[in-house]
Amino acid sequence: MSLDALLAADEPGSAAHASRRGGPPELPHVAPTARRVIYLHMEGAPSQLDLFDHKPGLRDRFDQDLPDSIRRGQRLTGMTSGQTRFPVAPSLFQFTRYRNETGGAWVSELLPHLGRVANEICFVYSMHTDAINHEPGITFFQTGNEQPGRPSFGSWMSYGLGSVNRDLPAFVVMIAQGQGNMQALSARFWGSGFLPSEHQGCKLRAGGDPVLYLRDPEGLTREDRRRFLDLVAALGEAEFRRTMDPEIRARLVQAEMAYRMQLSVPDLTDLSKEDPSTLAMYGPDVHRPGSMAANCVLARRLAERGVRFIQLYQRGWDQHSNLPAEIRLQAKAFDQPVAALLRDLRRRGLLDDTLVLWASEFGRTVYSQGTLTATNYGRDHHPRCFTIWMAGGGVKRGITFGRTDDFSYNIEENPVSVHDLHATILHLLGIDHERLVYRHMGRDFRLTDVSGTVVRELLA
Amino acid sequence: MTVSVAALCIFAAALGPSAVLGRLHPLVLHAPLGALAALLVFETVAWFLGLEGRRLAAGVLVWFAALSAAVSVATGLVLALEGNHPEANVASHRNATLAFTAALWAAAVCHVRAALKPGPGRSALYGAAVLLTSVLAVPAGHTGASLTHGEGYWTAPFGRAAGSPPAESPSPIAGAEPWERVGALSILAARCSPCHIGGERKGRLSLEDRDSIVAGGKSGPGFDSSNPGSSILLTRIRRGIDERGHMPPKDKPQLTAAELQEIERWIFAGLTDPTPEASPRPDDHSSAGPPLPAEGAIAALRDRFVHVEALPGAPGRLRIELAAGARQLDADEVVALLGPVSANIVELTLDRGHLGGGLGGLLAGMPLTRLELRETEADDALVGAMAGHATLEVLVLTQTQVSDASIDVLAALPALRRVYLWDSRVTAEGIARLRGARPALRVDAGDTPDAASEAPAGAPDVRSPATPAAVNSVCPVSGKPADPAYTIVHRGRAIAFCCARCPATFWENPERHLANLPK
Repeated sequence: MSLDALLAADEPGSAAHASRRGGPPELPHVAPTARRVIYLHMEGAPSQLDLFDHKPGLRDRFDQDLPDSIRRGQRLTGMTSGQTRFPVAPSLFQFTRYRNETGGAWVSELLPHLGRVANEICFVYSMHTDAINHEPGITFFQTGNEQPGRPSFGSWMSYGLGSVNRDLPAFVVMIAQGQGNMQALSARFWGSGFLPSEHQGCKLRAGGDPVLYLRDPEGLTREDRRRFLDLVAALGEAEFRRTMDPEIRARLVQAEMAYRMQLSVPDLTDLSKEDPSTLAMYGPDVHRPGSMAANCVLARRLAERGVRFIQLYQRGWDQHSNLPAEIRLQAKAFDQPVAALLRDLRRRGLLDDTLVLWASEFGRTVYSQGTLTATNYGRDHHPRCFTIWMAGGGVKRGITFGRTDDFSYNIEENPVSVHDLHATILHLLGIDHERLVYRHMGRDFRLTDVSGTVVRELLA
Repeated sequence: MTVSVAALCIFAAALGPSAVLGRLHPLVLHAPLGALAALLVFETVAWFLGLEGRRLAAGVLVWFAALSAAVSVATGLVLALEGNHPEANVASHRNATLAFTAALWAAAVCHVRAALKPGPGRSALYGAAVLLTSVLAVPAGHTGASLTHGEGYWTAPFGRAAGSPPAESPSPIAGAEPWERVGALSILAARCSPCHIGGERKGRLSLEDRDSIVAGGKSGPGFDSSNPGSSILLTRIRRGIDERGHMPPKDKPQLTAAELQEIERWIFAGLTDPTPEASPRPDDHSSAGPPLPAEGAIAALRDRFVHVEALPGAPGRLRIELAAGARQLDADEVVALLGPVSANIVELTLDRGHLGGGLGGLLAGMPLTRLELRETEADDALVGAMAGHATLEVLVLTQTQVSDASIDVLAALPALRRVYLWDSRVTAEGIARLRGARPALRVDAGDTPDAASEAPAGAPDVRSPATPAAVNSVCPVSGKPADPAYTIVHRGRAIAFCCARCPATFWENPERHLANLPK
């Protein structure tokens, strides 16, 4: 037999083996440069104008009305439709240019730590999306479609590539609360949609115990637990053969994963062996469980242990009002930890094959929502252009891509849709986005829906 | 009768005459055969019993046979236009049946002659013609059955009785030797004959070689080079077994998963096979690719929760990560498990695993391009064992005991492009020495400098837009004392308000409130 047949024959197929791959056997399609993804989703949509998209010309346009030639009839949300004016609100914050591999990257004073690792980062200023509100926007970014029901990115990866480390799930989610106006985060953003439910994201709790009830109760030894699981698996297999319900298999796989996590999660969360100077790199919040800093440390440890898709949410970016004050706190919470994460991955040699993605569901408007004063403004949702960045994993280091107009309202050069971004990331993972499909309701579904092209300029 | 003729005409009009008439051939051909058989029986019985009026009855039968044979030939010629079968087979059947029909007509004519002028000579001629016709029925029938049921239909039972393999062949992949790369064409030959190879060309499609697949048949070309995933050859075999058009048909042996995978790979590769030297024979030492690992070696690794995956590209290359196995395996087990597959390992991650003696020698023999040993007991001895490794490109030695003594070995690794030495025992001098010896080698010791920032020279402080001092000290909307924090700029003048709500009121009707401002 060929090697592929040998590998397929020895692939653990029974439910007793957790994290078996369900996807097409010929993956990966091309040589992958990224083997795992750390996806930092800034929920609520940070203002690109105050963080990355530097528009110095707006200083002279303070309080001017946004010209119609720029707005071009963009639909308003219910929150600003009552406004009679749309005054331009330039950013209050100073921008500094950091040297990178090309012409330098502008980063605002809110993110000094991130600026200093700007030579690792590939900025994309020309992202665009269709959704104008959070729920469809996040659903679109996670699943490739504004309407719920489809698998999330991490589930596709778990399905297609499977898990490397059998002791840990392939898809882990952690949530950090924020300081500002926080929108809801639905569990279906890391759900498996129509894929077998063993591919859903495993959310670690933000409190002291990332996973509850890890220890067996008094009187139950690990061997007892093993025998119990084997019996349940045998009964479950028999039931599966009778009814062919895939959820039985999924349940058994997850029970097996829980058994393995009883040992692996304490090892994961035990920071006692971590060098204090390493932890200090992540900032003062690192010992507060559930903070962005603590989650970044865990993300690095998960990456070390081979978890494929690590998703971190930071809530609270939805600054419709009181933006300057709130964004200072939000940015401070992620600036140092995320920069430390990049440094830590880089020096361990993990950044080469770990893709770090910082993204949000859309951007924010150049015009002020609510009253514009010299020291205060708010911004509404803006889907037509926003900024994301990526680092590591085969992405070109230290470049900027795409350009918006002077108002950071429309895209002038190299628009990148969410599907294009997904296709590019899948390509970095070695997957042809048109060939990772799942048959459901009579047709083949894929993450990129029916569009998306790989953006070659972003590949190293 | 009229109704059936009318129905036939409607069908013919709707489907085209050839579709209907041609398909009558397999029906009509039974008429002359049946009549011939009846004639033989009748003549034999009549000869023994000496029946009266035998001539008339025989005449009816022989002329019925002759006429229906002519109709059969006509419908057969129409059916041949469909082109469902290879030319050669059709030609042989046609010739055989024409000979048969000619003999049948000769018999009919002889019968008339014998009836008009009875005599032993004419009767003998008639008898000879009938016998000749009966003999010619055999090749005509055999060639016809071969078209429909595949070659060797009549001879197959004799072959089977003689002990030759049955007509249904087992999966060619399962039966192949380990070093044989079974091509997609052999799979198609095993699974798609006789309907598309050899005997017939159902749907005008032959699957014998690449050109005929590309040419395709009634449904179009079998291979779409611009969009291989939608090639008909692929979509037909991928379809669910109960769906219309699924190939092979439900009642025939189906493609196994491995065969489907091979055909899919073949189609996406543009109907090409990988280079032959990728899978060497066991006695062929000159080939380039690694031999396949022993059976069970991969299963043994996976049973201990080691991650094994194939790398795309040339076959036989593996990536192995200890992952969950790092915690459970001791040093000897690691060596024992990796040994059987060591000739195939191209990328190896042993992070947090237990290493021991014997591993160095094993690593030196692997065709590695990437080796990761984070947080292990890797030391100078292990690195020394890998001296001169020809293919190693990326080496990760962070958090290990490797010291300056290994610098010379690292500097001498010919293919090395990147090495990571953070948190090892290597000192700054060692790093500097390595960088000096190999300037093109990327040495990461956790000391990558930060991106320098450039403040634009002479730039003004743009912390906030220049806001002049407010022109008023009393809020124009409420009359209360104004708070400078709530200042807006209107027509070049900074106007202060008492709270956050008054500016909105002001904006609704600025003219009304401007009067309250000092001039």
